[in-house]
Amino acid sequence: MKRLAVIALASLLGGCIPIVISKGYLGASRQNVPAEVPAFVETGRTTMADLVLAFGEPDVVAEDESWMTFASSYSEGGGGMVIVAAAGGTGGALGGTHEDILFRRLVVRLDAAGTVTSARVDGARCPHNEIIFGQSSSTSTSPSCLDVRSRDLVAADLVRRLESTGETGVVVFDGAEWVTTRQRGMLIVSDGAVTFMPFRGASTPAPGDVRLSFADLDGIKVQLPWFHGDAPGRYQAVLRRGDGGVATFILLDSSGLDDPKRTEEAARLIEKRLASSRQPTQAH
Amino acid sequence: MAASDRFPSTTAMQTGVRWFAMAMLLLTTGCMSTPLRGHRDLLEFIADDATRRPEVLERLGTPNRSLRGGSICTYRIARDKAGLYVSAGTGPDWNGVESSLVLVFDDDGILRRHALVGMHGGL
Repeated sequence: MKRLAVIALASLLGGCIPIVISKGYLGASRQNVPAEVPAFVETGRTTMADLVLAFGEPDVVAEDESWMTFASSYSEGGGGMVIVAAAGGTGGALGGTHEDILFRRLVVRLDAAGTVTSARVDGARCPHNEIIFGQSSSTSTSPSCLDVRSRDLVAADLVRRLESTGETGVVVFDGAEWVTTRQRGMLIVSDGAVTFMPFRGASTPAPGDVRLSFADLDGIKVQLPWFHGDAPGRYQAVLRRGDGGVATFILLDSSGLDDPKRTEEAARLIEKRLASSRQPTQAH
Repeated sequence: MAASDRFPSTTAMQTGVRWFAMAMLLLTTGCMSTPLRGHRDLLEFIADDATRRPEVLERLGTPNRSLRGGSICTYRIARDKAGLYVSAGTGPDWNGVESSLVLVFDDDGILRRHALVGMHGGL
């Protein structure tokens, strides 16, 4: 918000504007995550109620309540520069900002009775860059950053659940867009199928989730960007179904933007699994 | 000196008043506030070993999060000029939330422990 105000001011004034990003918690972050596991937390003794009474509502809780997380994001400050040029009733900006963000996450695992079985604090310092070009801006965050939504833990639960139901070779791609429905969620590739699970804070596929068995698929291709008028299209993977229909997905980066490299990676994996599923079973 | 020289004509005055009203309206458009939702005594009814779950649900509504089969309930508490109110939402977005109210009930639905945890403690 501060940056937008600076850019707006810079647009009015024109010229070169330095940006200073001050230290502090990010606006949406809670501020009570400790740097270390507190001394009162004892494995086998402390309960979920004790922890929630101490830290408040957890940010994320596993569907089966086997873990919960409390996470914070703190900016260690930074800065940048924006050069603004205006002429003939129009204008544009060029510049960028950099800041380091300190992520912290208390992860507590619990048994069926709601007693703590383990607790740890994860921490990561991540560079966050914002590039301002023309009249738009884009952000990039280091992939090593922790996800305050704990999608990594949800994905790990999902793999475990699917494997317990007999699925093999499960790979989860978080941050996928199912283009047909414009929903965002997780793309799951196993030895037998491609599944899309929309974000809903759960780690169990529901009956309504898209599940395409390899037996029902004809092939997959990665479609290069095409153009609608002057606007470039999106780099997407197209799954061809046996009934003539298609299903399309795009993988996104940590900032929610299209990530052609990940899309390609997922498409190649599906292609490989599809080919393996077509190989005739050797007779013994 | 004619009266019309000393005072603006009625039409001119009306136009001026209209322009003034319009200017004030434009100036204050961004300042219009939403109705206050807070209550000074929102949480005063809460007492360990006395308050029952139905009373909590009636006064505060559905919890933001319910854990361990409803034995742990949490509410996000925000504040405006009138006092405290329950804020919607779950997940790691604490914008505007001042504290988290945690209520722990026993099997009979009686409140046994509670805490109001500040979200901006800055540990």
